[in-house]
Amino acid sequence: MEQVNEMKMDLHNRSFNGDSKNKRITGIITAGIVRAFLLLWTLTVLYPLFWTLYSSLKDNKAFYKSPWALPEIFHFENYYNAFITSSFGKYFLNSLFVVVAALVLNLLVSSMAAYVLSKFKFFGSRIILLFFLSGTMVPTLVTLIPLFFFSQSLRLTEKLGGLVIIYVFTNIPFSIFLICGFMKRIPNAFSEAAFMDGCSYYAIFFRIMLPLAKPGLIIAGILNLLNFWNEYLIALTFITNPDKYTVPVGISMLSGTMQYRTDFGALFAGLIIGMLPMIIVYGIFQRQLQEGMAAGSGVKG
Amino acid sequence: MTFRLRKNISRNIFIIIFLFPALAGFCLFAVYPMLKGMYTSLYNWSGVTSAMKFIGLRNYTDLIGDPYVLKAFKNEFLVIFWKVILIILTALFFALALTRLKLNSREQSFYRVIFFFPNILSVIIITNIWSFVYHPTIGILNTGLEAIGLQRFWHAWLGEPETVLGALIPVTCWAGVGLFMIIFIAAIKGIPEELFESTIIDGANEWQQLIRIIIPMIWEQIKFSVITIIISTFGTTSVFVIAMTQGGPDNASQVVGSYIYELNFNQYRAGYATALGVVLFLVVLIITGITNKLMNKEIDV
Repeated sequence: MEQVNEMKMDLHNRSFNGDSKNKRITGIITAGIVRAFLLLWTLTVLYPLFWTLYSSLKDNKAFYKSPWALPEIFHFENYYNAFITSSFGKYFLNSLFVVVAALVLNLLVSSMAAYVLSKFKFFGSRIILLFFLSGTMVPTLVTLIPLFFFSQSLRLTEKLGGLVIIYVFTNIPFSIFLICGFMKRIPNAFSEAAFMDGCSYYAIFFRIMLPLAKPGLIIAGILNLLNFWNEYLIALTFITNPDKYTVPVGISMLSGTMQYRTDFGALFAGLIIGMLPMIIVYGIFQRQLQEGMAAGSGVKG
Repeated sequence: MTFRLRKNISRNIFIIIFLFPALAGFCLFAVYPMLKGMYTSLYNWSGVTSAMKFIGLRNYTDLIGDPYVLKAFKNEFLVIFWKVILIILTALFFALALTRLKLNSREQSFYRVIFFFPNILSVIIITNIWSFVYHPTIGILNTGLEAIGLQRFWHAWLGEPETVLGALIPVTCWAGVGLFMIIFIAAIKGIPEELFESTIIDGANEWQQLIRIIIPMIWEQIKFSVITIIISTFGTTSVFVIAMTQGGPDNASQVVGSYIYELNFNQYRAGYATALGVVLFLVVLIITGITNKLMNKEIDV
């Protein structure tokens, strides 16, 4: 150890020699270049968002005149137009209903299964867990079309409730995987003590497991919130009635009709309405979101 | 004895009750559609009427002769190839910059938050914003090229067969790089500091440290990321394509998922579309196996 320290000292001294002066200069230059890249990427991420924001406050004339200039007059009525004329108010409520209902059901169903799969040893428990996890490897488009026809035969298409059911069950494997990981780490002593006191398994689940697995439930919940709010493809294929559009479908329909009926202001306002809730969620749960997505990226597919 | 038996019965009933909703829903809405897809792939079926004619493996033999299937797979692999290279290199670069460059913690978390941000946006929002970047007359890319006098590089980026794929790939990278940066940052921070100190004593520079310590120490995460990008690309690129170009112009940006979508919802060839879905599933399965094998081998060497 002493030797190591000595060598470190030696190294430290050497850095004052002319030989390493060059090294230090190249180090500063490299750091400068790296920083330039960091700033450049910051710009690539932030500018499009900033541009969307200020474009949402311009009228068509100003937009055509120069799409990149800042607005001279702030047209806040674009938001009124988006909410009322382009029905984004309705889409917002539709999305909200689907997201909240799907979130609650998904978390309940998955945490029930996760409790059984993480804390009970029984014949086939491992196979069932692997069975769930294998579902995450399948690309959406492999099942989307048969799922669409099947849902049609069950009369689940064209209904927000149908969308809820599809979202709940297609996202189950990921939630189970995440919540299982958290429940496994809860010591058995808690539930054993409660069991001795005469608590039923059901009471243990609701009174002990769920509260203790709360960090996992939060991560799974936020990730699903994001998935459900942003989901586009299934909603697009399942819903054709404009009264039942979710926000992403509303955006795609509005941008799809741009050739015939241009209202850029309302479109950009719609984009802002679509991303604002997630920006707020990201602001609050930044750490959980990053952690959860990193943990889930392998299983989500 | 009877007590234990009764206890066992109530335990088993509990397991069944808690596992049933998740298992039944998953089987119904994820597994069954996949099996149903295999079934309908043997039929000549439009999807619109109930008229189905059994044609055996004809759909599969037709797939071999379909030039667009070949094109879609070629595009898919091109996208995967570039995505793996671009995302891994950029994410690694950013992760190194944020961990090894002596940034203060405020700066560090600022970049983390910004770079991860595109990951929380809906595909439909990302594609809408980027469509304006690539817009032939008002897009930032063309106006930017004009500003620096490079008008001869003007393109209708999403409207020309030669440029469309090259325009799509950066968008998917922009959307995904932050997640892998987070994974790499966590991995690099997990490397014990003594390892770096010992190589400093050997006189290794930052570059040698990267090759000798960082890459081998985070190899697991790199491997994991490569596999994740490959598998998730099969699922996500098609959504970008459907939202941005619908596979056009003239199928130049068609990938397998978007072609399945197109076959079913625009050409009404549901049987044929599900056959391509089955092929896609098998390809994903095989590729996952191969990448797993290859990556493991490399680490043994």
